[in-house]
Amino acid sequence: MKKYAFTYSVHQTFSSPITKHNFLLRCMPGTYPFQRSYAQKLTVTPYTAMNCISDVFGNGMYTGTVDKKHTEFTVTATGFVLCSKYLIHEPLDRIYLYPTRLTRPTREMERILESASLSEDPWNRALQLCDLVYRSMTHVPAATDSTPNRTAAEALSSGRGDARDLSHVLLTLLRLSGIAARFVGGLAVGVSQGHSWVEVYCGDAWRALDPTTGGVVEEGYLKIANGPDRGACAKTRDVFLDPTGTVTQTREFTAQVTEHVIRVRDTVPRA
Amino acid sequence: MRDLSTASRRVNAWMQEHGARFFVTRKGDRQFADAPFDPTPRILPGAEFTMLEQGLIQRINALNQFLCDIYKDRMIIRDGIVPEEFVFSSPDFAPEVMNLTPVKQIYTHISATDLIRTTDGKWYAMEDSFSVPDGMTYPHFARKLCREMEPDAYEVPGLCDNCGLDILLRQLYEDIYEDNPALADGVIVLLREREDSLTTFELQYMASLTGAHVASAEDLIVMDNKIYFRSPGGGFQRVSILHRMLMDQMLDPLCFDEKSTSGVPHLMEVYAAGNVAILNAPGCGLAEDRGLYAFIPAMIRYYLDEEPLLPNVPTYLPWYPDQRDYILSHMDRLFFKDVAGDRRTAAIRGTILSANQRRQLAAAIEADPRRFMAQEILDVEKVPVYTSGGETVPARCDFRAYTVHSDSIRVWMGGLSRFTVHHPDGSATVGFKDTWVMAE
Repeated sequence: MKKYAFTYSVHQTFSSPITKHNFLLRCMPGTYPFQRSYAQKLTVTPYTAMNCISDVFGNGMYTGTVDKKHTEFTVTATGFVLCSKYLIHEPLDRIYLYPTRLTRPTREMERILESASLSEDPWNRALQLCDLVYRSMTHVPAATDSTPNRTAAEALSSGRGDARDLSHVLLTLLRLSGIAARFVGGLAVGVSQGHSWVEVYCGDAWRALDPTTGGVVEEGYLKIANGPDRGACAKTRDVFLDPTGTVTQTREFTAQVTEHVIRVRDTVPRA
Repeated sequence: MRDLSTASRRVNAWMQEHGARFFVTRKGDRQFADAPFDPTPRILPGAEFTMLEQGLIQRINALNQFLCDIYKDRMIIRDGIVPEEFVFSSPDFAPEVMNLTPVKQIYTHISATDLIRTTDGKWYAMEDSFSVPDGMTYPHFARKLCREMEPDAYEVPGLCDNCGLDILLRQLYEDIYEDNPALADGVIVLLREREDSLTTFELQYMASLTGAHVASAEDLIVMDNKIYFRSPGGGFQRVSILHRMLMDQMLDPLCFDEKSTSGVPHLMEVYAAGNVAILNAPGCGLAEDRGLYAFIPAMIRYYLDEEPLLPNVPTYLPWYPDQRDYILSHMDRLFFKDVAGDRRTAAIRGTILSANQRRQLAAAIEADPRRFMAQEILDVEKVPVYTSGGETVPARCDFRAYTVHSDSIRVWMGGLSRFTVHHPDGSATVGFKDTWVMAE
């Protein structure tokens, strides 16, 4: 078991004042069979009351509205997480075998599968496909901030993308080859922004692959949310009233995950 | 029958003034068009209406049970009646509403079913609409205006009144209030897409019948996990029933499509907490899926243990190899629809395709059989329609029947008869008629 401290923050700047800023945040690592989070703290500025709820995929979310005019919005999440080996035993929901709007397969993807000599064993096949995505696409940090609905097909044809794009391509190929897979949003050691990877259902458990490294996720990954695609795992979503109709916004994401020494009290984390 | 042409001109002028139009497909493009009213009614004998009524009640009951099942236990998939691929890969499947229970376990509060009658007198169900079951008010106000101008024309023995639309809607709202005391202090709001949307006229007319308020997303606000309507006079009123004319994906930009500007942020949180009833319930769009249409007879048998009273148009799914073989060998006599894409895309008529186009379509079907469905082309009954020159021409006509589902399922004794007149220059006019249901 390892212990990590995390900090994740989002800073939004608007070119002129906005109001009725409705937001949804999925930025706190959750509690899973391999992961326990504790001593968490979430602050938003300007201050507003928030609801803490779960979505249908079991992901924790905070929602709220800032009514007063503002030109800046900052979210900061901090806390600690204890992690053991990344493995989640649970029954399979078969929706993860099928494509979504953002992960529809294309003829190009079918050709990729046909031309690759893939293993019969699902886990080995998943490893091969992860390696294939890692080798054939260029990882560019946060390439799709301006295109939140970028599809797997668009990402593949461009040959480059951020972690979400690479995960979408891998998801699509895995499902096309008959393997259930889901998108995961989270944080990772050594990644200075939010991160994404893919969980693959093999045997009776979910295991994780990271297409940005081409390898198996073992440790140093803090899971925040999972779902059929990035739409269900977005760390932030917001809509606001733009009185002038001309507001432009910029977003800065920063994340830091550091390993800490485990102390005795850490083994009994608060729920 | 008295001449209703003067009255129909008034109806048409009034509709143009209020922006009441139809969506029509012209050369593959969907666009708004005026919806001319033809004064000659379509006559529906009482016995036929009773048969349709029974068939529609059965159909809507089965589709509602299907939605309740799919978003919870998925027994119909487990029992092999509907392949999971047709559900989970449907663009209308909304995993966001899984395990959320709508008020009274009803998804299909108001539905529109497009029906056709063939020249041999048989009726078939063509399509069902739940997200935006529009067109309901057109025949209602057309008859209201015509009757005001020509009351004698409606003194026909056995003609049933179609005025019960407002009673059906009010009863629906009251049934929802009755079982949910927590909602009783709120108002009813009809949510439109935009101020200039196609449904604005319809919702304003519906509001005048029921006393509800018409609102766009900017008129609604969520506070303390409840939704409020900002009334024109100032102040906020809690909303207990939100009757929407929006697709599922547009309801809440924080839950569904984040680009939606017509939805209400946080609406799905309020809905999940049971603090608002949404009509029709989120997730109902799945029952409109063209691929699942073919399974409706099987759903009726599975959930109700009954034989379907109202048949589908004979439909073939190339996903099944034996049906694919039939489709590929009968391409010149079938209609083709893209079931995986936007349901508003037009159907392709096999008869008008060139040999090369048929080969291309066959290749597309073989490459992705899940994407298509094929239907027999039926000989649809034609009805007389007045032209601007005062002559009558025969026009293909369908019938959109409306069903209201609360404690029981009731079929409105009226409906929208839509006709299409094809002109020699290749253009077409889509209009509507009143439907006269005659007592048995």
